[in-house]
Amino acid sequence: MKRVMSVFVLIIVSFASRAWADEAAALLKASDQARGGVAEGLTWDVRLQSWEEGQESDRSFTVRAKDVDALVESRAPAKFKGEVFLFNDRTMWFFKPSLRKPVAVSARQKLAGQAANGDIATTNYARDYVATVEKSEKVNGVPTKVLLLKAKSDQVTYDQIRYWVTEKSKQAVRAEFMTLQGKPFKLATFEYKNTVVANGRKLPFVSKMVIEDVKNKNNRSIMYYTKPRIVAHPAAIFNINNLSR
Amino acid sequence: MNSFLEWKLALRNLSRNKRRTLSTATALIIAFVGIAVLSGHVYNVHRSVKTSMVYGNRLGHISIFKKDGIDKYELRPDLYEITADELKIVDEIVAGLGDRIEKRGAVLWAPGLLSTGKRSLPVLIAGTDLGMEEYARDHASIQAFVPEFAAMQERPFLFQAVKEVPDAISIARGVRELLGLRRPFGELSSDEKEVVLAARTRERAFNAVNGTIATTHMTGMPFLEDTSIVVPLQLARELVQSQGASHMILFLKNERQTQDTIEKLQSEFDARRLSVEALPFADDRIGLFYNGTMSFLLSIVSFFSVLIIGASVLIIVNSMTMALLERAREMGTLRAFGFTPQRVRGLFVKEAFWLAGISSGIAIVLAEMIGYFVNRMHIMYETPGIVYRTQLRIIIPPWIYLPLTLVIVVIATGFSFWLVRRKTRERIAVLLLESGAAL
Repeated sequence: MKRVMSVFVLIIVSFASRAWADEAAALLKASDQARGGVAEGLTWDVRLQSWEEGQESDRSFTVRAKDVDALVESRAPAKFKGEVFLFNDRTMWFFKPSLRKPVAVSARQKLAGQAANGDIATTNYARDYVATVEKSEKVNGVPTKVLLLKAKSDQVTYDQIRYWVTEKSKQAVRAEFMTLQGKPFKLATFEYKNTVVANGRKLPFVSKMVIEDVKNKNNRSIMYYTKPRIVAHPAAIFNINNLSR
Repeated sequence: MNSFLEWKLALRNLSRNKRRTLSTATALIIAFVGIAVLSGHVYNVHRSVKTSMVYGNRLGHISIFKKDGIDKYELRPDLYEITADELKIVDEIVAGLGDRIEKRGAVLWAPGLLSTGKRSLPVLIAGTDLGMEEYARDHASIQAFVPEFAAMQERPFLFQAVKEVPDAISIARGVRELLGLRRPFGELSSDEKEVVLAARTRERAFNAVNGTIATTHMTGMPFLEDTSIVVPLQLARELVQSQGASHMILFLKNERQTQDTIEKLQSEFDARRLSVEALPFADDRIGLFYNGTMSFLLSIVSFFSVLIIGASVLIIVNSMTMALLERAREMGTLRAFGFTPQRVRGLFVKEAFWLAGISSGIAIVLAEMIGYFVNRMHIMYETPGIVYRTQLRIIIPPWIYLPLTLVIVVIATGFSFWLVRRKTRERIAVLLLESGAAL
């Protein structure tokens, strides 16, 4: 009888953990949509303001994304005009017109201030991380599920992320970016005041992301997202060979 | 008996018991040769490591960094680089030192990436003053003291390549391996040679410039071989968008003036309220590899020297004690003839002096012969921390013979004096009787 009970408990636990994992994956996939992770072509502008060790920088980009590809073009200040970051799935390139060849760069490298290269383009956490539900928690009175994301490969921007996703709207409102050892080193908060219409549906879209250094709150970056719109991008603009020609 | 006769008698006494003299002399010669040969090896390693660091890796005799820059430049280059304005003042001060500075030049370090267009490697880019590169890269000291290093340096050197290809860069041999460029440069396509260097600017923005791989260089050290890139200073400045430098390097005509020059420079820097510091090449933060290698070698040499000298001293004491026991009657006879104890002691000390002197002479010839034959044998060995095989060389600096001879003479005469003094204090009758009993 004991043996039968043990097997029964095991089956229940296994089903429950699978269900939690499925729930986490579904939440993650839904939250990605509001951060650019949509299959259709999408374009938006980003203003990235950073304060780091007393230095301030202000840069603007236009992001063109489609599926797993993204082209991030620098617009301002003028000296950076023409510089592009190209994301082909998990591979990332930097290019500017004076160069003979593109530079393969890492998504983990700093773009400016606290923002890494990988933070600027679309978010595909559902593709890049394995998610599990850690607990439920309220953020500013809103019930959220706290997900623990573990990187599937070392090519992604962060090794681990603790991610607060609202239960109702399925939007990420907070993130703790962690080292491989699980130590938080950056904190992020998100706002969703933009909307984008895709397939006749109105989808919320991120409008602001604030990233702070855990140890020094004065080191922070704010990304303002504006003018998100659905645009059909030709595949050729995401081809690295076309950039350097 | 006059002094000359005493010296003559002392010398003649050496041949009275050849076996005993030979055993004592052998101990002295082994000690002398052992220490001389060990010192010759260490001297050669010291000279070659120092040369490869100072000239091969262009660390110079003196480096001038922003205060704390040597530790913090990599983290905060914007705060710890020597700015263009500061560089001008430093240059003025250095020029004011006159002809004791043989060459000076600025260096700009930038950790970054080298991209082939398909993949990127993390590298340490060193933007270098080409005049200094020309002076140091093929310096006569490298040819003389580190021929293995010189032989592995590829031509053309960067300062020559730049004349034909303005954006020429030099990559370390390890980087070339990592890039898979195993064929000679002449056979490489332009696509293979064209690369992009990327790094963070002083404003912390990402930047990249074109470069053309024109040659390779050798750092000699494994931790640099896979990352070192040398580029013209101007190219590095364009990359990080700064007219400053991470540091300035000075090569002195006479390296013995290093400390004095540093003191003069530092007082000038302080007087002009410049936040920079002059550091000698042997400073732990710069010449860590050199210091580590030398401490390791010196500890080994000290250990073996103590062993050799200890063993030799025991043999010398034993041999001399036996000689004195055997020669107590002689002492008694000399005393009976009217020799004072001091004169008897003097005679034995002179004998020891002859023995040590002659042994040292033989040892010098023997050490030189060993050095000659070892050097002729071209024995190659691998040194930990150096990527090329080094030839075992015994180059004994001539000045070392004088202190070594003095040490050997002091040991021999000192022990002789100590042993004879005890013996000569005894009464003549006892000495004659004791020797009779011994005989």
